[in-house]
Amino acid sequence: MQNPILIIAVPLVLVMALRFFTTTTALERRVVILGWLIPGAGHLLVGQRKRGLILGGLVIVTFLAGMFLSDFRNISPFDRHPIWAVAHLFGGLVSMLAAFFTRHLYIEEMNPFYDVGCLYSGVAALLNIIVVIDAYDFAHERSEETAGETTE
Amino acid sequence: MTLWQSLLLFLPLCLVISIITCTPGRRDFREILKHGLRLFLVTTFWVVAASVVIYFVMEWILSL
Repeated sequence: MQNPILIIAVPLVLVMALRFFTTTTALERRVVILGWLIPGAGHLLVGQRKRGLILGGLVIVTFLAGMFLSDFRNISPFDRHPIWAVAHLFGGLVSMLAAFFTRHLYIEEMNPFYDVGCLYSGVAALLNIIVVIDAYDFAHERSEETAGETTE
Repeated sequence: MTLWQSLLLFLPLCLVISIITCTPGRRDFREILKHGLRLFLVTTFWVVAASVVIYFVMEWILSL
């Protein structure tokens, strides 16, 4: 493992994941994991369908707009853009599928919008963190309500 | 990439960022849109104002 980003990111993600799994309820975990994998899906679990569709739609459309601007060549975690891969990590399944389906594409000609495309997709993936936090907020509220009902 | 292209590409991304960053803690979607649009206008104003200032400062530095 020679990539410095992986050396920093892997232990950090492991520590955060350990803390997350030890301090949250099952509903909160499901919402966060599903929301990370599919933007907006966490909201569907807590009954916020409209909110989930709008927020998830915004994230996915922005991500795809970035891919379109850079000729579908901007999602490449290890070959072309290891630094953007840290941002794309938060895009979940969308980033994984994009990286998988565009793995055979190579940059052959100069595209003036390439960097803007990278920015769009990277920012969209990072915005998914906020969407997940919003879904977690609803799940946390529901978990507290359930805990309150059981103690009564 | 021309100035207009940069501006046209900046505006939608800024709008999406503004709307999504306004969501946590707000339950009503109309309120989110209201705050998001306000944040978008304020951010756009300050980015354009800062860009104009930087442009003239750079022009002045280059003329020295």
